[in-house]
Amino acid sequence: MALSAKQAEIEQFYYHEAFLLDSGNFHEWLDLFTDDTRYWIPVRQTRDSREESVGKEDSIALVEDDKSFLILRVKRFDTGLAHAEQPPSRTRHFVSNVVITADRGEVCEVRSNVLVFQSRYEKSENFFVGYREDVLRKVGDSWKVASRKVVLDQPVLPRVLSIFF
Amino acid sequence: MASVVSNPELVNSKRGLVSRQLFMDPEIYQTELERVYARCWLYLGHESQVKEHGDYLSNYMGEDPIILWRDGHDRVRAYLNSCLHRGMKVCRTDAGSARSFTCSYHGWTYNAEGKLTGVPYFREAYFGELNREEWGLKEVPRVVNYGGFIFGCWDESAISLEEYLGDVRWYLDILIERPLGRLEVLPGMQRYKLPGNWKIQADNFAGDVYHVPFAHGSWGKTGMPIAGGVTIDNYATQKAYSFAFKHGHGALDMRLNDETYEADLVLAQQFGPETVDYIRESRERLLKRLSERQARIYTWGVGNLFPNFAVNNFSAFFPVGLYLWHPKGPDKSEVWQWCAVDSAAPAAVKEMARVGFTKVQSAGGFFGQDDSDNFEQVTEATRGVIGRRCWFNYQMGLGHEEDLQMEGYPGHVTHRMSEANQRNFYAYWSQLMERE
Repeated sequence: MALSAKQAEIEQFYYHEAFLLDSGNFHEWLDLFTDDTRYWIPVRQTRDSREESVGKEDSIALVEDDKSFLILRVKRFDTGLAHAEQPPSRTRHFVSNVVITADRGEVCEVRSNVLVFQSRYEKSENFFVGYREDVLRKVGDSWKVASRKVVLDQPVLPRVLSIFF
Repeated sequence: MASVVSNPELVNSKRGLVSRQLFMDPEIYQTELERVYARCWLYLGHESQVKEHGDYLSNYMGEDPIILWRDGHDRVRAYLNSCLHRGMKVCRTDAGSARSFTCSYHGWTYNAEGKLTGVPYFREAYFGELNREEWGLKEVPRVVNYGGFIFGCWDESAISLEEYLGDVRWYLDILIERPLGRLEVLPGMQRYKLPGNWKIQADNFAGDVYHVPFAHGSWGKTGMPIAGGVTIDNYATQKAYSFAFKHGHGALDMRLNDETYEADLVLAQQFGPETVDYIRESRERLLKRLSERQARIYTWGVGNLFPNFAVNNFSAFFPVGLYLWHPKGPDKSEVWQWCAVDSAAPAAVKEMARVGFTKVQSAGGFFGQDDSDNFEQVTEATRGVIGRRCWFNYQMGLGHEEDLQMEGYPGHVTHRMSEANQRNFYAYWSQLMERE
């Protein structure tokens, strides 16, 4: 079965996003998010049930941003005082297993896996592994992220989170 | 070869110098696990996390994994998380509820009273001869709840928790008494690895006002306030004080004269009359339960309770942040952190605190990120032979410890920007390390 045009479009959207992140083009990356976006990284724990292992809405989160705070994170890089990213990390984002889980025309729910490598200085090398649940919305000709949930598989993070997923 | 640990020059309090060996040497690290972590009162968790019979959470005391567990008699107890048969962790989850744990190796079962209640093939393999009474979980002998904060200590001869905390209780009481409901730890926790010795974080939280304007400069440069009226630019020169306490505890950012309360009232107006009333009632409650001086302080600021438990709270709109700097090796640590709010706070206030927790001193927060990156590079530059021969300099305000005299405030008050609290931290560390 040939992949749908929409599937191909969304995959290309993710590859473009990964390229912007890995080349440090954060201002353009911000444009990929709607103004009412939500960018959420819940906490992860080892619990008896799979369901309980992901932080809920009323839990504390690792990151829980609206668009204005995402913009602030990027502004922070521009201050030259964001020591955790100055000098910038080298990152490589791998996005795979892209599945459109709900297709409502101009709005799609999409699940994908992410593997991100972060290298800093001489020997700080870390992998972050997880999945994303996005709501993508068509705005004009382009897809935008209206909501993103990133669920990392590591309950103890290998490093603080100074990069995006 | 002389032991590194017995070298009196490791901590020179008079000159404000601390050997970099404290942050790298494996022998010092091993000795501090024994003389600091196995002897001091350590924070284990908050009572709101273990409300019902069977509720538990996993934590560490030094490098020893423990279970904090509420038993069937409403008593919160703590045990070494290790089967007494062959050492397996009996609890393999971070939190939950269980009336018993069954070891996944040979199936020994323990209840919340720590008793060994089940041994497979007891008659066939042990001929009924194993004395099950003797082989219950190894219990932390002293577990004490101070205002909801649960501490444990392995050393049966140690001073009481009350005496150990000493004067710092007077300030901690503000956080304990301000809630109109109860202080409640929200679900979930953050954990991240920090490639640096635990003391770097601990001494930072005990007294390092000095690093804030530069290390956390990006916060101010992006226009973010710290708390009502305080910005990165005016942070260091605020009229606020640092307090050093007996047993190595230190607190900073104490504003004494209603500054925080008044800023909260202004902010509360944006939320509406219910929130204004809430803020007023919180302060009223402090006045009723504590002294006027405590009510005027109204919050806590930042502080580290020796050795590795830190608390921060900048106003009623901020969460009460609870942090453990767990030792994981001479040059490694893990940050474990939770966030607590007043159960009776208006929903909007709770939500602001919950979301706000992710922005500042947090795994993805501006402050947490930059501290972590700095401490990692401190560690890298301390690894080598020559690096280790150098000192860390804690000379700020040396000789000015007695400048300020303030009646009625427990602890030893010092200038806002000073390294007196860090000197106090290492003086106590040194005292503990000298005791065989």
